[in-house]
Amino acid sequence: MTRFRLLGLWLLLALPANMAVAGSVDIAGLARTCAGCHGPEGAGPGRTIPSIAGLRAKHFGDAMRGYRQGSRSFYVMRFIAKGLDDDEIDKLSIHFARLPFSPSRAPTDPAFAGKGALLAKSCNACHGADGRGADKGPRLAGQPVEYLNGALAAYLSGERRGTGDMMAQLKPLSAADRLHLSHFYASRQ
Amino acid sequence: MLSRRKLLQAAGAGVGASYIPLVSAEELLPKSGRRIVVLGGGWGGATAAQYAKRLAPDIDIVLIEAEEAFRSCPTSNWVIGGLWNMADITTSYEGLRRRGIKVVRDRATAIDAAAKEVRLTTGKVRYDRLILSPGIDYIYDNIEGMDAAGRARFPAAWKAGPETALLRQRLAAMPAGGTVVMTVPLGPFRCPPGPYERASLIAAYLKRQKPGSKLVVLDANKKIISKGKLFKAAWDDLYRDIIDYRTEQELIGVDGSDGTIRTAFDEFVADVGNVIPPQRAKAIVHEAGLIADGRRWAAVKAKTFQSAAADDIHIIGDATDQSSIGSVPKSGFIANSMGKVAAAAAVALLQDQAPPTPSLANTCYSLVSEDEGISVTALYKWDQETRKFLVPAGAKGLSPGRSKIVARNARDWAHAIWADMLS
Repeated sequence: MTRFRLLGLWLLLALPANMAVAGSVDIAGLARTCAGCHGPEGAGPGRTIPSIAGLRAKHFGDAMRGYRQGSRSFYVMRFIAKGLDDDEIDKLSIHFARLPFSPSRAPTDPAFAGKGALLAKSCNACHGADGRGADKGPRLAGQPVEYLNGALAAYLSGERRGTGDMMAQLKPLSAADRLHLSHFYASRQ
Repeated sequence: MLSRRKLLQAAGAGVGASYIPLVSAEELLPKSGRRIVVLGGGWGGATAAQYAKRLAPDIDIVLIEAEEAFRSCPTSNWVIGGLWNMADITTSYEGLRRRGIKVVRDRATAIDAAAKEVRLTTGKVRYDRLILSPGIDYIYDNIEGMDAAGRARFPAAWKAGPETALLRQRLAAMPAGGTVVMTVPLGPFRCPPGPYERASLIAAYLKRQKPGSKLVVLDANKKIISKGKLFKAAWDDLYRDIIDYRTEQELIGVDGSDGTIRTAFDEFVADVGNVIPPQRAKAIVHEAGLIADGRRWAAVKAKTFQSAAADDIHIIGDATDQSSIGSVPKSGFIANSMGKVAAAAAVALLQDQAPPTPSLANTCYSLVSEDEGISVTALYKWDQETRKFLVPAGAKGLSPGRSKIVARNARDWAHAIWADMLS
């Protein structure tokens, strides 16, 4: 054995016995458990459960940290997120960002979507053209209607703590407005 | 003319699976190249087959399943409660076939671990690695009167299929003002919240359609063993005059001719009776020598689900012994998680690689009324010290109460996970 390999071996043996080896959790395996709710490869057929594949890593990571820290309190994700450390969240974010986004097949109402289109301009400023995602705001396009509508309601109920920008955007909207916006973005496949 | 093979098959089918014919059975699907055989096309097995094929398209994956379609036990309570029908919980195996998995419709009769073969009723299949996900057998031995008549009168419906539909029909046919009696065995059993979801939905149905009816729940346990606080709150709010829930009630005997159900101190007459008996791993696992004497479930190495008794056999799902794995429930979601871990481990071992460090997840949804649900969630990570799965601090909890959004999520979850397993 070369001197360098021997040195490496000594260093490894010198680590405390109960310290987890860095990167020991298999991320691909961890990601596979998510499919149970979010569908195969994170592109689920849900009406209330979102697709998590093909989102920018930054937004995936922000959402998971939100669930872990309490700025998002959804009753399932808050527990899953507590079980993950920063390294795992970062790696999962990259893993899912690389997978293709699969738009929801849940039906949308064209009349509602038409009304939502008129309101969408200011949302697009952060969420990108047609809500396909941009640096400041995650993808909305093609997420299920019920999920989007529920998320907007969560900002207003406090179940999600929104940024100053989000809350300013949401304040003037009625429940009907939020529903129309949800139908609009859900229909942008 | 009756062939010798047919005679032997007829003999073997009736006798216990420990009989291995002197004449070598016909080899089905002659083997060339590496092969993983999965026994059982349920929540664990279908997942294991799906993921083994995804991870290693070149490895031959054979799935052996006795039924012609997948019928889901999780959500079958929704059929019993009259919310869904049998078609809603049934999925074809066509998705797996389209992926190139060989789905063999047959019943396994024995495992020959030395020869690395699984015996079916029509022949044998050889394997390099075997993943067993056979599910449960009912233990009726200690319940007096549970002969064929008893079982027909008091179906368990703890495996989705004809008994599910039968229980549904019986409830529908029961006159208003009738009494339903349900018995719950001592844990551990398949699906800890299952009996309490069933009680909730039967009560909801009686409230809706059979006014004046009662549901007596005789639970051998000291208390509701999963999501107890949430079930109790729902029952107090919604079913106070309907559910009569009693604990520490061990079922002693039944009478199939008149509907009598007996505990040590009481007797009840059921218009509709549902006896959920104690359970153990399916006989084929015991008969293969994979379970220690007197134990109900199979011990495995948690990291790979390899049998403690045989390196090239993995065992997953309800048949596993939680004392060897860690405190994970016998749920469908867990079986699905285990299927993924076993598939990754089996593939890695066949490719002479180290199996990965695994994780499991579980979200157990229960409907407590036709449009409200409750849930419990946990994440499990494999721990190097104990070599079992542990829940990291804070990574387990209940939904805050019962709500419509949880019920809607539950329906979504069912469709998502069936797509995960079977598409």
